[in-house]
Amino acid sequence: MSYPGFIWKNGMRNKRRTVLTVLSVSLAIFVLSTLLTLVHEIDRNLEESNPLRLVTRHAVSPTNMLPLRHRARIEQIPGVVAVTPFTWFGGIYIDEAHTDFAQFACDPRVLFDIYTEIRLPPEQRRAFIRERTAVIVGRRKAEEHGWTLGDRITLRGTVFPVDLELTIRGIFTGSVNDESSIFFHHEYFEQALKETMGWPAFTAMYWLRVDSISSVSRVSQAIDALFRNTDAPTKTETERAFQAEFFTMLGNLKTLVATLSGVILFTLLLVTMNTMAMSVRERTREIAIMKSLGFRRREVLALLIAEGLLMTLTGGLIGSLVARLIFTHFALVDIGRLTLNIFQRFEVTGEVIGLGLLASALVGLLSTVIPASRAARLTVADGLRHLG
Amino acid sequence: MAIPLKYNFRSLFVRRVSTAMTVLSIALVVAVFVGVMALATGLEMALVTTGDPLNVLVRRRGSDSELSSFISREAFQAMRFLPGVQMNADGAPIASGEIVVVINLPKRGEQKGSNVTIRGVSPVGLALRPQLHIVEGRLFQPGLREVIVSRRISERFEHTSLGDRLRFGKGEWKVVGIFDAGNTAFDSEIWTDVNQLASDYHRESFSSVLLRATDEAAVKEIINRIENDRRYNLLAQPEVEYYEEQTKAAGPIKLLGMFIAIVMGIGACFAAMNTMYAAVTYRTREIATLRVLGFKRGSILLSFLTESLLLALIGGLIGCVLVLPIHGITTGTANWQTFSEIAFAFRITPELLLWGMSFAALMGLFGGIFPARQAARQSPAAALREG
Repeated sequence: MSYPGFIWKNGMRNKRRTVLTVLSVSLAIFVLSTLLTLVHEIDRNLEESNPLRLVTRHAVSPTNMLPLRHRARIEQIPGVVAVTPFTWFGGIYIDEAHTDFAQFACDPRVLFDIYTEIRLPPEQRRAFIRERTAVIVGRRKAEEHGWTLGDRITLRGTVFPVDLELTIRGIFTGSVNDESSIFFHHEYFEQALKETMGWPAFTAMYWLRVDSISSVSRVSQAIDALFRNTDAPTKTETERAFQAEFFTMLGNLKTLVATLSGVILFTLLLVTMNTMAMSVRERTREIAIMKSLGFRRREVLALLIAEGLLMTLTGGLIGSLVARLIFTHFALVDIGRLTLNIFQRFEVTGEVIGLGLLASALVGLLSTVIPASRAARLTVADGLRHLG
Repeated sequence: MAIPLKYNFRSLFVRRVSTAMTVLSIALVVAVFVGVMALATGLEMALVTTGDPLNVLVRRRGSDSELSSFISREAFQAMRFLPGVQMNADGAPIASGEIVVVINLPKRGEQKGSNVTIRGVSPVGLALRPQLHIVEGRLFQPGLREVIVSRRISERFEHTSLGDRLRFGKGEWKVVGIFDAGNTAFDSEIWTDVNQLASDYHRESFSSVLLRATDEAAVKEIINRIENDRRYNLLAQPEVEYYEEQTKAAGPIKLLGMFIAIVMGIGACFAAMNTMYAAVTYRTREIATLRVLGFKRGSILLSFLTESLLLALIGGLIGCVLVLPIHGITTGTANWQTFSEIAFAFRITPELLLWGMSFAALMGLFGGIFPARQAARQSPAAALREG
C-alpha cells in the first residue's frame, strides 16, 4: 500500500470523528477569514489613497468651515497642481435605508486633475462640467439604485439645511471609494445655501494634488504656515493620514480582531489536538506493530503528522472557500448595510485564503506533534502491552 | 433509577486530558462571546442610560444630531415660556440652550487624534443633569475660559488633565475640573460656559435646547406645541429617545459578536460531540454492565447527556471567569451621529453571564444528545461479548 493510501485509510477509519473535526476546523477558519478580510479591507482603503493627494481642513475640528478665499492662496504655492473645495454633504436620499453612499461637493473643472483615477467618458465629463446641477455617480451605486443618465435625484440636507436637486450626467468607474460616491458642483451647493439660508460661502475642506512626492511635506507645511495666524488656521495632511484617522476613530479594531483571531486559533488547536490524541491512543498497538515490522520512528511520526495536516488543511480549504463564496462570489451578505456603510466591498482575497490555509497547516502540525511523538517514542513491547 | 452524578464526575476525571481540552475550548468560545457582547453592552448602556424621561430635547428638523442643528435665540425664548415647562425655585423656567462643537484632540500615547464633543451649558443645563458631579477640581466659572472634562476623556486624551490648557476656538482654555456623569453619553464630553463658547465660535444660535416638563402629560404637550409651530421648523423629542436612536452604533459590534459566537459555538459543539462519542466507545462494556445491573435505557441516555452538560457548564463557568477582568476597561469608538468619539467601558452584566452559561449548556446539549442516544441503544449482550 502506498503512503498516501495508508494515510487516507487511517484518516477514514473513524469517519464520524474525522468529519466532525474537519467541520470544526472549517468553521473556525471561516470566522478567521472573515476577520482577516475586515483588516484587509481597511488596509486596502488606505493603500488606494493617492500619496500625492493632500487634505486641508480647519485646524480645530472637522465641523469648523474654511473660507473660500483660501483657495487662491493655496493655488499659488509652487508644487500645487490643482485645488478644489470639498464638502461632505451628508444628505438623505429617499430615506435612511437608501442613503448608502457618500456625497461630495467639489469643483468639477479640477476634480479630474486631483482624482486622476476617475474614469469618465469625455462627453459625460463635459456635460458634468457644463451644468450647474449635474452630478456624477459611481458605477457600483448606479447599478444598485438602477440610475441611468438623465435621472434626477434629490438629497435632503441634514448637516446643511438645504435640499439639492441633481441630474445624473455621468457614471464613473475607477477605484475611488469603491465606485460608490457621488460628486456634484460646490458652486451649486454654495448658491443653494445662500438662497435658502443667506449663509456666506464656505467649504469644509480643500483637496489638492501636488506634483511630486518631494513636494508633499513642503506644500503641507507651507499651507498651514500661510493661515496660522488667521481666524481659520488649517491642518494639512496626506489623504492616507486623513483616512487612517477616520479608521482609528472606530477604535482599536485591529487589536480587537487580533485578539479574537488569537483566541479562535488557540481554541482550534485544542479541538484538533484532542482529536489527534484520541486517534493516536486508539492506535498505540498498531503503531507498535508497525515498528516491529521495521517502520522507523521518523516514518511513523511523518505518517501521523501527514494525517493531521490532511485533516486540518481540508477543513481550512472548506472554511476559506465558503467564506469566499458567501462574501465575494454570491455576495449573500449586504456588507454595506451591516456595517453602517463603513465598508462597501468585502473581498475574501487569495491572500486571505492563503493565510487561512497557513493557519490551518500550523494548527495541524502543532496538534499532531505531541501525541504523535509520544506514540512514536514508545517501545514495541510497551506498545503491544497497551490496552486501547 | 438514575445513575448517580458521581459516576459522571469520575468518568470525566479519568479522561482528564481530553476533558480539559474540551472544557477549555468551550470556555474560550464562551469568553469570546461574553467579551464581544460586553463591548456592545457597554456602548449601548452609555447611551441608553442618558436622559431623563421628563426632559425634552429640541433640535432643528432634518438634523441627525445636536451637532448639525441650530436654534435661534428667539425660538429659545419662545420655548422657555411654553405651558408645561417646569419652573425652578427662583421661578425661572428650566430650559437650557446649549452649543455643541467638536474638536480634534490627540489620544494619549498615540500620534493620532480623535474627535471630542464640547458642550456649552448654562447653570440650568447643569441642574438638568444631576447625575453629573465633579470628582476633582471645581466647576468652570461663567465668563472665564475654563472647562471641565469627563474622567473618561481625561484618561484617554492629551491636554485634558486637571490644570492643563486646551486650545480651541479663539485660544486657550484651562481645565479646572474632572467630572463623572454616571456612565452616560456626557462621559464622552468636555463642558464649558455656553456664552463663552458662543463668542469664540461666533455662534448666535444654539445647537439644541433641553427643557424639563412638569409631568409625563406635559412632555407630550410641549412636543406637540413645538412641532406644530411652523415659524421655527423644529423637532422635539424625549431626551431618552434621542440617545436610544444612537445606540445603533453598537449594531455592527453586536453582529460581529453574534457571528463569531454562533459559528465558533457550532464548532465547539462538534468538538464536544467528538469527546462524548469517544467516551461512549471507551465505555462500551461499562454501559453494558450498567444495563445488566438493571439501569434502564433512559437512565443511560440521561447520564451521558448530564455528563456532556457538565462538561459544557464547567467550560462556560471557566469562560465567564476568564473574561471577567475586562469589565470596566475603558475604550472608545466613533459615534457617527455626532461625529465624535464616545468613551465607554466594557460592561459584563449578570444577564450577559447567564447568556454565556445558556450558550454553553446549548453546546453541551447538542454535543451530547447523539452520543448519548448511541450509548442508550447499545445491546448489552453484544457489548459484553466484544473485546
